[in-house]
This record gives sequence, structure tokens and C-alpha cells, in this order.
Amino acid sequence: MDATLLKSILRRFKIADYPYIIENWKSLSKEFSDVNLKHVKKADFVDMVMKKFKHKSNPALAIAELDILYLQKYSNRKLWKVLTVDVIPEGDSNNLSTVAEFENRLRKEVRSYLNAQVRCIEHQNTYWIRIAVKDAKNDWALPSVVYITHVPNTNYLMVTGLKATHKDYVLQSLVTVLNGHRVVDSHLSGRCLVSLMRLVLNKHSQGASLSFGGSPRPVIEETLPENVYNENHIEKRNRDNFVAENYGLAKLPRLEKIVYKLDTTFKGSSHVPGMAGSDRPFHCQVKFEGPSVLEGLRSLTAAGLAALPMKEHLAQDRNTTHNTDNTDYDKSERDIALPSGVAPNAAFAYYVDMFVVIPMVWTLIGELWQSYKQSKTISKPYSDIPAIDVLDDKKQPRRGDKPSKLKRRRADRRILKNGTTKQKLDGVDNKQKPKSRRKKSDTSREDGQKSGNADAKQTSTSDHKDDDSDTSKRGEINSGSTLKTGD
Amino acid sequence: MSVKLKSPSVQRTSRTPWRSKRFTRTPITRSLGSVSYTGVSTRSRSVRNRRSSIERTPEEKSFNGLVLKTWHVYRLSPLYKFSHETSALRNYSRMLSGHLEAEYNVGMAVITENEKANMAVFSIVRGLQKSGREPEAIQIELKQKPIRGDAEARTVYTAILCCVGASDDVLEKVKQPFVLLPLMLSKGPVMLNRYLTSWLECQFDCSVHAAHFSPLSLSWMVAIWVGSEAESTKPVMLKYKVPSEVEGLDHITLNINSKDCKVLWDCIHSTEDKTCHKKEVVTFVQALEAHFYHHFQINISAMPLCMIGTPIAVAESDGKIKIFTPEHVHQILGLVTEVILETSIEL
Amino acid sequence: MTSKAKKRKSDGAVVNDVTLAEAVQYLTSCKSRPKIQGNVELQNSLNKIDCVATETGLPAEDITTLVSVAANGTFPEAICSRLIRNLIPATVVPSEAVIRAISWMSTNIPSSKIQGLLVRWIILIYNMLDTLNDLHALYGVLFYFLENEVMCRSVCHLLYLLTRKEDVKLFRVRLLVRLQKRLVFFPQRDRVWLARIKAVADRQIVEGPVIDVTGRYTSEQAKRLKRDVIPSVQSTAVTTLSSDLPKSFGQSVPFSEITSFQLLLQNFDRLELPCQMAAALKNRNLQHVLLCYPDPSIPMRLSYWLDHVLCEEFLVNPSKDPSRAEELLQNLITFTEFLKESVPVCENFLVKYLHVWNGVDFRPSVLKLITRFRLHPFKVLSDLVLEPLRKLFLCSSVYCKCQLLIMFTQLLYNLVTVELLRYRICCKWQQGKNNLEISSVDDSNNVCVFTEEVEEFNPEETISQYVEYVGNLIEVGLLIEQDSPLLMHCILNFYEVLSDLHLEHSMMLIILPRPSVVYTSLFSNSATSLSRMCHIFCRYRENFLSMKNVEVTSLSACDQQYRIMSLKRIKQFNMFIMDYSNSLWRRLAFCDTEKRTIFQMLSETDLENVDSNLYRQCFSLYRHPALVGYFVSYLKPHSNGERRLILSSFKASSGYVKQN
Repeated sequence: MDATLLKSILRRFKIADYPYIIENWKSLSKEFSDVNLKHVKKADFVDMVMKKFKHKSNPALAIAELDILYLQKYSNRKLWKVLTVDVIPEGDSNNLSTVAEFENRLRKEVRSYLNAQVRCIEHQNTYWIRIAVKDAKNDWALPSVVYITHVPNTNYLMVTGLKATHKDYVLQSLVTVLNGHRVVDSHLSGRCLVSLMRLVLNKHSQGASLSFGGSPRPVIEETLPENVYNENHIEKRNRDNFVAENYGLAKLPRLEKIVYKLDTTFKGSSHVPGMAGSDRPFHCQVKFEGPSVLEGLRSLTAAGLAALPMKEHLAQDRNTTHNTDNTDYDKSERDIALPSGVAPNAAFAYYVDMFVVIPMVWTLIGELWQSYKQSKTISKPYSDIPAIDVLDDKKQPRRGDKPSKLKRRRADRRILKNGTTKQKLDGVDNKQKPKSRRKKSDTSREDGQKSGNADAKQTSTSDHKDDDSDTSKRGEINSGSTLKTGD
Repeated sequence: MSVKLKSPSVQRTSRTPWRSKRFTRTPITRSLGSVSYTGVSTRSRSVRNRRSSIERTPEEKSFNGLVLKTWHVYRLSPLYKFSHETSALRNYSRMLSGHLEAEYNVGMAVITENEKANMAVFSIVRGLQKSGREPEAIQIELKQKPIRGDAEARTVYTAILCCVGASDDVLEKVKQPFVLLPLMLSKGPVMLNRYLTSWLECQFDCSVHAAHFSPLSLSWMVAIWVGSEAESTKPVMLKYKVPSEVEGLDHITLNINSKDCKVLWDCIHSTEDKTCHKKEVVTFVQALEAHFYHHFQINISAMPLCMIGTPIAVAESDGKIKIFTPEHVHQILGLVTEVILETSIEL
Repeated sequence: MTSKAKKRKSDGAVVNDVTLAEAVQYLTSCKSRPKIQGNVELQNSLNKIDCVATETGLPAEDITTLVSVAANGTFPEAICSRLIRNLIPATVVPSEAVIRAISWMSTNIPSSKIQGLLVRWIILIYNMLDTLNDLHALYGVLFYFLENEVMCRSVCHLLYLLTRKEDVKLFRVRLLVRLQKRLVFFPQRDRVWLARIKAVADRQIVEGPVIDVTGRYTSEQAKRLKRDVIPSVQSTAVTTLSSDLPKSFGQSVPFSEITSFQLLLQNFDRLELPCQMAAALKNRNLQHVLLCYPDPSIPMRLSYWLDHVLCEEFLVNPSKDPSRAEELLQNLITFTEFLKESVPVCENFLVKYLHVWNGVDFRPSVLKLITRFRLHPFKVLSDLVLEPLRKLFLCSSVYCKCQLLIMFTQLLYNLVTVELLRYRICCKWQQGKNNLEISSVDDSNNVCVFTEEVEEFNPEETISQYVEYVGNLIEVGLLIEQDSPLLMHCILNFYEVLSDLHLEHSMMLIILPRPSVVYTSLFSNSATSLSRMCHIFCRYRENFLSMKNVEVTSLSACDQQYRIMSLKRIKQFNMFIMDYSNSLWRRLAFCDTEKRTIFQMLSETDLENVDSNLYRQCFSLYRHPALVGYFVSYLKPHSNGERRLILSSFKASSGYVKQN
């Protein structure tokens, strides 16, 4: 079985990768020093390795190493999920200073649940973990393998190949080893491991600050012939600046999918007057797909398909900025990677999408938010925000007295900016508001504005504990009450 | 091209004096669930109504073979000297089997063993017509007889030629010896499909091409199918293809709760009205796009629709459909037939 | 033996000393079983044949000879098979060789293996045979070889290649059905052999038609078949699979066998039309048939097919590769030009296409197709066809404008020559049909292949409106292009056609050119436009004179009206003539006469201070900017060496002109 496994792994490599293998495969590297790799065929190479392998004492570990090597090279062939470990702050976390210790501990934990092989390798400051779980019934079957990447001293795990049968055990062992409390799905997944890491680890340096870090995008200057004059180069420049502020100039991390769930009231009633008065939420889900969705979103304005000012949530994940008023929002919103401590004019954190959904409820319009941001500094650092179990609907809303003032001020500003909303400040709208956000459980906090509605909202929140757990949480950017439809 | 002589009852506008609907690019109104549609270039909602209710016939049970499968849609020109007689069908079966054998022997294509078919069966599918005047639907199955044993022949490929709900003047125009079966649903390996189409082209002097649904046709489909009663919880889906200048982003998909969508559609189109106007369809789609725009500031209306999904069916722009419920087969195939007939000039 | 042969080669032993002729000679001269072992000459010959075959291929006579050698049993099997495998032709294989092969096979002297090899060889070089007649004649003989188990498959394959309709006899079919149970398919067995033959063929520089060695087995050909826009002429399988061949009074001739017009005439009553009528777009004989075949469903088949394919190629799914579409359009153009009538489906398609056309793709083809449009009421023509063309005209370059003008001219020409007559006949025929006058009704309209109902309208009205429309475009075009000479040339073409409407095409219609065009010619810098305009005037004059002399009573009321309208234009015509004469001949440009038109913008006061001699002569024959050059070159031989020509000494009198 080992031989077949080894063969299958070897065959996956391309001929061009053989030098890479020889260099990095520690188990067999000594024997390989004399190998001449010119014009070697795949079959020959495989045979050679198999021969040398026969004499190996501990084949399993060698195989594991080779497997991890393959994965390091071709990590984009797998779908990686990001999990956040809810680390208990106190206690001696991370006393696992070396890879070996980590590996031993992990092996002990995993072996207590499953019949599995565990191997950890450190590569470029990351732990690559391979857990090969042998099927109990069929000894001859190939093991199902889980690969995990972990950056030491952070809370994040990138996992791929996790099957439902082993999921609990594996995660439990990891949590124990990392001294965590529990592990949470970050709703983030993708194929490009590097991008995922960048997004998750460099939360605070997304957006405009990417101009300084990361690899800059090549700037393509369009050379026009002599007698062609670009009439609106000023608008073009403004547009480019705006995009740069929000997205930064550097190359964006690659994400394959971004999904938004919207539960707002219907906003297209200019076309359909019949829907104008309705408070019924219009549930829909929007999915952006492509090889690199963030790049695509950035270039939408240049292609003329998106209007400025763009919605913040696209550039950074608006919810995150809402974090600035952390207290205002429901914890549920924080499952999005949020940046904070970012300067107001800079863009914001990237909201990196989750494999399933970013919950959002929309009522704010971009400009208002920006103007608001300009007046307010973002207060709390990220680390204060505890991780949340996304699947848990029952959050304890945090209340503060700030929200109401903030909201009112925002509301004011909104009126100034957008004259049309003046009339929306009537109590009528507010009363209707709660219905549209029925499903949110945090609306109770949001009614700072009109205290009269607080009761209404609270009753409404209790209505839907029976929601589907994965129908997203909606972060409410409160003050929606003034916003309502029609803007 | 038959230019009909002036008839006083027909309204003519100054822009298009010719009454022939051939030169209007798309119809202005369509009937929901009735036999004919009006493709007249008048702006009014005048309808030639022939509201035959869709009777639930026992043949509907046989539609189970149609539902829950992805069909490729092809459009055919009228077939020359095609007969529905049983003896003729048997003849065709024999000829097609022979043709398949010949193609295999020439040996040009790469076909895996389990995709080979050596038997063809022509049969009539009842119940796929809306009115009695359309030709009956024909089903062609290519089966693989096992070499040994008496096991049942396994169907490797299925094709259904039908005409569901063509308008009367189109049916009148296609006289004997031509038979109008413009819609072909096909499911199976590509090579077999090619053999079948080449045989059909040679045998009946027709022309077979894959159907393409334009974004406007897809909008008609999504609007009309949303309006039909369905119990399913599948969302209403609109998938847009992002132009290639935008690198990195390929598709934008909107999935809307079907009940909310139905509410929206009911606001636009009253349920008693049996005809659906183009304005309503356009408004419906524009409303959804406006809702999207409000949240994302992206002009999704500038992108072409490439796939739509409703609780009763899913359709893609490169000619694939999938029907979920047998009750709506008539309606769905009727609309698809209409859309296909519009692309042709002569009919 | 082969290894020994190789050894010899490596020894540098005699391989190339033997010429091919000597090798062949030696082999033929061996009578009875010769010695094999150690027979140097034999080896050399074989090697030589090997070499020659692999490099250049064997010439035709040698192939024939070697076939006999291989098959007559002189040499042992191994040598024979080696010989046969080297029978790679340089150019063609004479059918004599194949006949020899088969005749030797029938004697049963060569073993089954050799016979099988021979058959396989015939299959491989099948396409390189010079004639197939002999092989067809031997069909029956070949059929008997099916009995042999070893050769069965190969023979089947060969028969498959050879079989024609008349070879299919019932007893043969029965035999084949029995065999079918045993056989499954023909594997491509001799790939290496085939590759060698192909390599040799490729090396030849073939001047004539390319010999496709691999016959029907290439996938490229398969793709080409799939990709051919217009189907080739094929027969359906319907008749061949019926129980017996139809024993009708005359055996029908499938159309694929009609290769020339004579054959068509001979077999006209027994034709079996191809399964896809669309092949008519490529096949001239089929087009002849289309013209006179009484069955109305034939053109309908073509129409439906064309409808579908045009939609597919242009409207629904235009492909990135325009060659298919271009080919289709070209064939359609030759077809319509041949028929001198347009296909109605094509007209409808053009109308649809023009609305979404970008003006650039396939422009020459599209414009050529439009020239064959039938007569329709002008409103229809204008809305559907002329409107998009107008938009194209106004925003395109001068070359495109010229193309459009040429198209307009051709369309006018076609309309008045062909379509007018066709319309009139169709109208009458349709009326006759509607009134059920059996006597005057034929089954088909003798004028159109693609009959369609026509609307009743006034054709002269259409034509005059059309001319006016084009005139508008011309005026604007001249303005935009600032009197470009190329554009002027095309415009004058148009007016040349227009000038003869009455005399050449017997219409009661005379429409004058636009004043702007007339005067642009008068003041232009190009002598050709001036002289052509004068020529056009001459034509108009003839037309007017003849129209005046027409017998009024013989005309219909409508025609009489047109005649009167046309005659009213004489006044304007006269004004043109006066202006031209005043300027060119009478040296009275800018003169104050009653009839002046172009010169009326200047009042007398403007011209007070200018010497009247000067301005009056400035457009005369000898001072006109366009003609001055010609005048000077005319004068040079007559100048008698004088350096300065005194123009006043030349009087443009009529007598003077008569001299010259």
C-alpha cells in the first residue's frame, strides 16, 4: 500500500519538478545527490525512487514529506478553508516552540481519537501538517488525508480535505494543541493559499495601504496617438484615485468567490411603484465568481460598469468599517475580517469573502458612510473583538449609549448630503423599519434612534430564533431607519 | 416571402407599413398558457386569443422522462417528406441503425465502448402538442444492444423532436410535404448527436443547429416562468456574464427568493391578464437590476444574461434547459418553441 | 535474412551499385526457385528496391512488373511479402498492376498470406490508382475472395471502397449479412506501411491534383466535411435500402453522377435529385434543374435551408472565422446572378441583417446581394433597406460611398430591366389565379423560380421615388466629400443609367439630374466629368424627343400621366443646356439673360467693375480650367512656332468647330 501511495504521489509531479524534489525531500536527499536529471523520463525517475525507497525504514514519514512537498508546490489545486481558533488568552499558549514538539503533541491527540499518521513540517515560517486517517474497515484503501497549514502564534488554520467523519476529532485535537477554546469557521475559502494568508494575517494593511506593501500592479499607460485628445482625463484621474484609495495599487489577493446575502427591502421600486410601500424584505443572494474576484471588482470602474462612489463593502467589506462603532453592531457582523485602526481616508479592510456568506443588511449608502468616517476615527483595535461562532444565532448584543448619538449624527449628515431623505425621518418609516430587519437578532440595539421602536424591535427579534442558522446574520448599519427604500 | 395584400382590418403604423411580423425583431406580447402568440408590430395589446386550457392528460405522466434532465436544444428547419406512419418510422429506425454502423466502420471518431449505439428506435410521444394541428412529437432513442445475453437494450442517447404551440399562421405556411418540428431536445454523447444530425440533414433535407437564447429571450423566460405557480423553494436565478475587459471577474449571479420574486412579478403583471407584455418583462428585469445597483453601484444591466433559473426550469444561453415539474412542460416548451421560431426568417 | 542484409550494409557492401532497372531485371529473370542463402545479387536487388521505394517510390511500370514477380510464386513467401511491402508508388499505380495482382490471386498460386498482403496493398494505394474502371469490372471476382477467412476482412474493406449502387445485388447482400455476424469493423492495420507510403507521396512535388493518400481516413477531412457550409451532392439512402432496386420504367440516375451538361440533358427525365437541395448553391447543373423543375417544393427546400443557415451564420451565432460566411455569400451571389432573381429568404435575411450590420463585414457581398432586390413599394424598400444604407453612406469614407453608389446604380439597372417586367407578369398571373381564369393560368409562374405573392402598387412611382432618394444622397455626398472625382465618377455612372430610362427600358419616365450635380460638372476641374455630363445631356435630349413623339393613345392612363410629368421637366433641362452653352460656347457666362439659373446669384452691380470680356469667357471652351490643358496641347502643333498664343484670334464659331 505504501508503494502504491508513493507511486501515485510521484506520478503527480511534473518532470520539471524533479530538481525541486531532490532538493527538498529530506528523507531521501542523501541518496539522490548522484542523480543525473537530464532527459530523465517519468517512469525512470519513479523506478529509481522506488528502488531507493525499498530500503527505507520508516516509509510513512517519507511519504508524508513528499506529499507535503507536492502540496506546497501545487497548493492551488485544493480548496482551502480558513478556520479561526478561539484561543484562550490566559494560559500558556504556544509553548510549543518547535515543530517537533508541536508534531508530537498533535500526534498524541489525534492518535487518541483516530488511527492516523501525523507529520508536521515547517516551511517558511509556517507549519504544514498532514494527517492521514486510515479507514478502519479497509486496510488496503488509501488513507483520507487532511492538510492543515498553520502560522504559529496566530489563530488561523487553513484546512483542506477535511471529511465530515473525522472533522470533529481533528479539529478537537488541533484546538487542544493550540490551547484554544473552540474553532470557528471564518467563512473564508479559496484556492490560492498565499492570498488567503495575506487576507487573514494582514487584515490591517489592506486597501490603500497596499500601495506600500505587496507587489504593485504594473501601471499601464495608454499611449494615444498625437492627434487624439482625451477629453475627460480629469474624471479619469479622479476615478483612478478613488479606486486606489479604496483598493490600493498593489496586486490584490486572489479569491474565487464572494457571496453577499441581502435582506433589505426592495430597492427597485422606482420601476415598480407597487413595491414602494412594502416593508417586506427582499431576500436575495449575490455571488461574484471568477479567478480573481477582487481584481475584477477593482477594474469594474475602469471598464465603465460600476459607478462611483463605489460601495464600501465592495472594496473592503463595509461591515468591517462599521466596526468602527463596534458597539453598534451585532457580533455577528464581526465574522468578517475587520480592519480597524485604519485611518479614515484609507480604505479599509478587505472583506474577504467567505465560502458561504457575508451577511449584510443594507440600508446605508456609501457616501454617507464615507462622510461619516471622515468625521470619526476608527476606535477599537481588532484584537478586542472576540471571535464569534458564526453558527450561533444567539448573541448577546452589546449595548452602548453611543449608538444613538452616533446614529443621529449620521442621520443628520445623511440629510445634509442627500436631501431626498429628509422626509424619511418621519416616524412612519421607523416603525416600518423593524419589519424589514425582522430576521436580525440585533435590532434591539439599533433602535437607539427612536426609543419608541425599541419595544417593537425587540419583539420582532424574538420572532426569529427559528431562522435557518445559515441564513446569515445581517449586520445592520443602523440608521437604516432613515434610509429606507428609495435612496 | 409572402407579402399579403392590404386588408383593411389590420392596423398599420407609418413606420412599418408591412404587416408581416417577420421584420419585427421580437414580439411585443406573448400569451401565457395559450396556443398562439401575437407577434404583430402594433403597439396595442391586441391578441389573437385562443385560450385553450391546458388539459391535464394522462400522457403527462410520461413527461417524467423529460423532467430533471439537462437537455440541449437544437432548432430544425422544416423536414421534407417526414411521415408519422408507423411503417415509415420503422423504416427510419432501420436506416438510422445502418447509418450508425457505417459511421462506426469509417472509424473516424473516438467513441468509448459504452457510448456506442447500434440500434435506433423512432416512436411518437403523445401529449406534447398544444393544439391538434401541430405535428406529433417524435422520440428517437439510440440504444446499445448487449452483445451477449438477452438483457434489455440500454438507451445511450435520446432526442425528442417536437413542436409545442406554434402560431396558426406559421402552421399554415408549412404545408405538405414539409413537416414543422422546430424544436429538438437532445441528451447524450456528442458524437451520437452529430451522427443523428447529419443523418437527419441528409434524409429530410433540413438544417440542424444549436439554439442560442438571446438575453432578451432569457428575460422573457424568467418573467413568464416566475409567474407560474410552483411549490418549489428553488431561488430565481439570474446569471450575468462579465465582459472580458474586466479581468478576474467572470460571472455575477443573483439568487432571489422565489416567493419575493413572485410578489414583485405580481405587482407588475396582474394575474388575470393572460398576455404578457414586453414592457412588463423589461420592467421586471430592470427592477431587479436596480435593486442590485442600489447595493453595489454596478451596472449589471450592461452585462449580458447567460443563464436564468426559476422554480420550474433553468435555461442557459447556449441552449440548455432543465425542467423540474411535469405540470409545466407545455408552458416551458411552448415558450422555447416560440423563441426558436422567431429566429427564423421564413416562418 | 534481414539481419544479414543489415550487416552487409554496415560493411559498406554493395548496395548502391545496382540500379533499379538491373534489380528489376534480375528479379524477373529468376525462373524457378532460386537460391536464397548467400545470393548476393538477390539481396542487392531487394535492398535497392527497398531504398528506392522508401525514398522516391517506384515508377509505374516497375510496380506492374514487381507485382507479377511477387505473386507468381517464384520466390518464397518472405521475399514476396518484402517485395509487396515495398510497392510504394512514386506517382500513380497503373490499374494494370492491380489486374495482374488479382489475376494471380485467382490462380491460387500465391499463398493466402501473400494474397492478403496484395489486397491490403490495393486498399492502401486505392487513391493512387489511375483508373478505377478495371477494378469496378472485377468487382464480382473480388466478391468471391470473401470466402477466404484470412482475406475476408481486407476484401470487405476493399469492396466497401469499391461498391457502387449497381454492384449491390440481392445475393451479395445476403452473403454480406451472413458475414456481418462474424465481422465487426475494419481496423486500420497497416499504419506503418501507410506511413511509408504517405511519406513518399509527401516528398513528391505534385503538379497536378494532389493525391490524397490516406483517402477517407483523415480526421481533417472529417472536420472539413463537418465544416462545409454548403453540402455536396449526395443521394439519400432511401431507395437503396428498399427491398429490391426500383424496377421503374426508367432507372433513376442519381444526381452525383451528372457531371456535365450533356449528361444532364440525356438523363433529364430520370433524374434523382440529391437529398439536400442546398447543394444547388454550388452545382451549376443543379441550378439548371432548379430553373425548370415543376415541383414547387424544391425551391422551398432550398429556402428553408437557406433561412436556417443564414440566421445561424450571421444573426444567431456569428463565428470569429468569416471564411464560412463569406463562402456562403459568394455562392449565394453566383446563384442569384445565374438565376437573375433574388431568393426571397435572402431578401428577408438582408433586411434583418442590415439593421444590425456594422457596415464593414462582408460589405461587397452584402451590397451585391442587395442589387438583386425585387420591386417593392418604395416605403417598404426605404424603411427596410435604404435607411440603414443611408446611415452608412453618410458616415463612411469616400470609397464606401462609391461602393454604395455603384450598388445603387446596379440596383436601378436591375429594377428597370428585370424586375419591372417580372413584377408585371407576376401581377397578371396572380390576378389570373385569383380570378380563376383557368385558361390563362399555368401551374407555375414562368418568370420566377421562387414565387411569392406580390402586392399591387405602382412601380414607376417606386422608381421615381428611389431616384429622388439617391439624388438626395448624392447631393449630400458631394458636399461632404467636396466634389471628390471618384465620387463624381460613380454619380455620373448613375445618371448615365438614368438618362436612358425611356429609350432603353421603355419607361415613361425621365428624371433629370440634380442641379447641384450638373453645375458641379460644369465648374469642375476634371474634363471627364464635364464631357460625360454633356454626353448625358445628349442622351436626355434623345429621350425627350422620342417621348414627345410617342403615340399617346396607346399608353395607359398612368403612363400618360408620367409622360406629361416628364415633359414638364423639359423646361429645366433647357435651362441646363442654356447655362452650359452660354458658358462653354457662347462665352456668355454670368450673362444677364432671362434663362440664367446658376448665375442669378450675382447681380449686375457686382460685375460692374470687372471687365466683361474676362468673366464672360472664363468658362469657355478654351479657358475652362478643366479644358485649358487640352486646349494648349491641341494648339501646340498648330502654333507655328509662335510663343504666345493669341486666343482672341480664335473664334468659337460653329464653322470653326465643324472643321475640327
